[in-house]
Amino acid sequence: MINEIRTVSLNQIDLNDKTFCFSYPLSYSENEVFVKSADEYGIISPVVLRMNHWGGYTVVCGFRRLFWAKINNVQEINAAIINLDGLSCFRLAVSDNLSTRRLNIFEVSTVIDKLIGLFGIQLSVIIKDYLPLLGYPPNINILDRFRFISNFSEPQKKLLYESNIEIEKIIAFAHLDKEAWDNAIDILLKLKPGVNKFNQIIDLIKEISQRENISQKTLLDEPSVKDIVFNEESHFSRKTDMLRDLLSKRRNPTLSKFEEEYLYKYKRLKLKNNIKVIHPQSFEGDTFKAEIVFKDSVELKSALSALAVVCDDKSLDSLINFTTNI
Amino acid sequence: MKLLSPELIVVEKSALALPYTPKILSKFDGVELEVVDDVKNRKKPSSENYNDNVLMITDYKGNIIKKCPGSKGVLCCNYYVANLINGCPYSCTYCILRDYINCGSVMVCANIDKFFDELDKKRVDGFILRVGTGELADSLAFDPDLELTNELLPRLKDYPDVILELKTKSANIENILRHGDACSQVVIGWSLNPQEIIDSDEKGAVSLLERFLAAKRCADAGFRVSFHFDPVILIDGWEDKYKSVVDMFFSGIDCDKIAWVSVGGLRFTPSLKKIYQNHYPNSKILAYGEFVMCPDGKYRYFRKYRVDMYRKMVGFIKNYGSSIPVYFCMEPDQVWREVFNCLPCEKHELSLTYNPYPY
Repeated sequence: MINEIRTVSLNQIDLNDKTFCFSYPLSYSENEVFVKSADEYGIISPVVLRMNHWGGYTVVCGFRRLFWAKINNVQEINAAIINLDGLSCFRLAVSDNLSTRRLNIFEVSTVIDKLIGLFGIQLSVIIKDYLPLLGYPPNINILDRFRFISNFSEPQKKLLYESNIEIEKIIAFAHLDKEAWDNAIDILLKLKPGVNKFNQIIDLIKEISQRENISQKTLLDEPSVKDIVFNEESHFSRKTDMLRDLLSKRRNPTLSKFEEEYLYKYKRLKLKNNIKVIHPQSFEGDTFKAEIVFKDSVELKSALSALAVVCDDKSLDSLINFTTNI
Repeated sequence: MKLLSPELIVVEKSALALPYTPKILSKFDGVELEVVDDVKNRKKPSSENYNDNVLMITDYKGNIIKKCPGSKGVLCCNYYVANLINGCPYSCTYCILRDYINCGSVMVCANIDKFFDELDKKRVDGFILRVGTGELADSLAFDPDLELTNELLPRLKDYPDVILELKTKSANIENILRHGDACSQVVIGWSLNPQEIIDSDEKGAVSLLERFLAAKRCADAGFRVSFHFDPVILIDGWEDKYKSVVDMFFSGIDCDKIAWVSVGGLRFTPSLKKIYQNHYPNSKILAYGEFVMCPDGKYRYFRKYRVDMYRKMVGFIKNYGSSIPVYFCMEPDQVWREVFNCLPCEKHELSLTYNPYPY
C-alpha cells in the first residue's frame, strides 16, 4: 500500500486540498502533545501523501503536522507516499486518526458527509460498515444525528465545540427553526441547562411559536427572554429555571393560573413548615396526601394537633373543592 | 388504491399449511417469498433501514385475543382486541402504533381457526363479548388485498353472543357488504376528525366524506356502525369543527344503526411525544390545549379542558338522540362524574358494556 517513504518539499504539497481532511478544529493549540514533541524534535512521524495530477501531493494524513511545519519554516518533511483510490485514502485517514484518538462529533459528522457527498457511499453501507468503525452502533438514528450536525454554520460549530456541548443538546436544535439557532446557542452558553431542561425549553419555544403564530426567533428576541438569558447577576441554574417558568406560564396559561390560585388558597391554610398537603398529581383525581416531618413524639403530636385545626378550617374545604371541581 | 405492495413476503413454515395462507399469497404473484421457522427470529431491520416493506404471514402461537389493556386508573369498557393484523398503511401523527410497532412491515395471522377457538373459550353464555381487530391495525385498510373479513364474517353465526367491531379510516367495505347475513354481529367503526385534521395529521386515510358515504352504505345495508372521536384535538375553533362532523354523520345516518360512539382526548406517552416531534416536526397537534402528565404515565389535556370538551361533544351527539351510547376512552371515574354526574354502569344505554360483566 505504501509505495515508498521519501523526503518531500513542503512547496510540493497542496495544503488547500482538504479532500481527505476531517479534523476539527484544524488549528492546533500549543498544549497539544504533537506540538510539544515537534517543538523539541521536529516532525518525527511521516505524513501520508498521495501524488496528484499536477505532480504535487495531496495530504491524506498529517494536516496539522504540516501546518506546524509551514509555520515553523520547515522546508522538507518525511512522507509516506501511497497510490490508492480516493475512498481507500479516506478510509486510511480515518483509521490512522482512530488509532490514536476518538473523533469528536463534528469530525464524525464531516466523515459521514464526505462519505455520502464525495464518495457516494450508500446510507445503508455507512450504517453497517462505517458507524461501527467510528465507534458507534449501526443505527439509522445515530447516522441521522451526525448528518444533522453538518447544518450548523462555522461560527456556530466553533461555539458549540469550544463550549464542549454534548451531542444530545446539539440534536435538540433539529426542533428549532434555523434562524433561532443563535438564540438557542446563547441559552446553552449562558444558562448551561442540562439535557432534559434544554429539551423542555425547546419544546416550549416551539409550541408557543405555533400557538401564537410568531417565529421562534421573535419569541427569543423578546426583552423578557433576553433579560433572563443575559442577566449577569443570577446563577445559570437559576436563570434556567426562570426561563423555563416564563415559557411554561405562557405555554400553559390556564394551568398556570390554576396553580397560582391553588397556591394562594394553600397559603391561607397557614401550615407549619413540617406539614404539607399535596394535591393530586396534575390535579387528576380527588385524593390528597398529607405529609408530616417530625423528629420525636412531641413534634408529631404538635403537627397532628395543627393538622386537626386545619381540618376544621373552611380554607381546607375551599382548597379541596377548588381542586376537585375544576 | 393498492395499499399493500410488499417487496418481500415472509411466511412461517407452519403457516404454509393453513387454508388462509394460499389465499393471501395468490394476491401477490411475483413477490419474493421467504419461508422461515419463526418470524420472531427474523432480524428487525428498522435500525439499519429506512423502510421495511415486508408482509409477514404467521401461524401465531400466542394469544390472538386479549383484553384491551386500558390504562392505570381509568374505567374499562370490557373490550377485547384480536390482533389478527399488525401494521397500518396510514401515517397518523398521533398514532400510538408509532410507539408500539417500530418497523414498517405488516403481519397477518393466518391461523383463523385459532382465533375462533379462543373466541369460543372467552365467550360466556348470555353475555355479549365485544371484540375488535383495530388495536394494532386498521381493521379494513388491507381488506381488499387480505380479505380477512371474508374469513371472519361467515363464521360469526356460530358465536351468537359475539359482536365484532372493525375500526377503520378507510372506505373498504365491499367485502363486508357481501356478508349481509352477519350484520347483527358486525359493527363497522370509523375514526372521525374534522377534514382539517385529516389533511394535516391522517396522511393516507380517506376523506371525511368518503368515510361518511361508506358508513351510510353500511347502515343502509343493515349493519350497525360506530364512531370514534378519538383523538379529539383541541385545534382553534374545535367546537364548531367537531360539531360539523357530528352533524354530518348523525343527521345523515339512521341513529338506530349507531351501536356506540366513543370520545377521547388526545393522549400520548413521553416516548410517543418524541416520535411526534422527530417524525412530524411540522405537526401542530402538540401546540393546542395544555397537557399534564397523568397517573398512568400519559400526557392528556388538563382536566378542565377535557371535561369541557366531553360535555360539549356529548351535547352535540345527544342532540340526535339521548339514547345513543356515548362513552369515554381511557378516562377515570372523576371525569365521568363531572360530565355525566354518574358512572357508566349507571347509564342505561351503556349497560351493554359497562355493567358487571363476566369478562
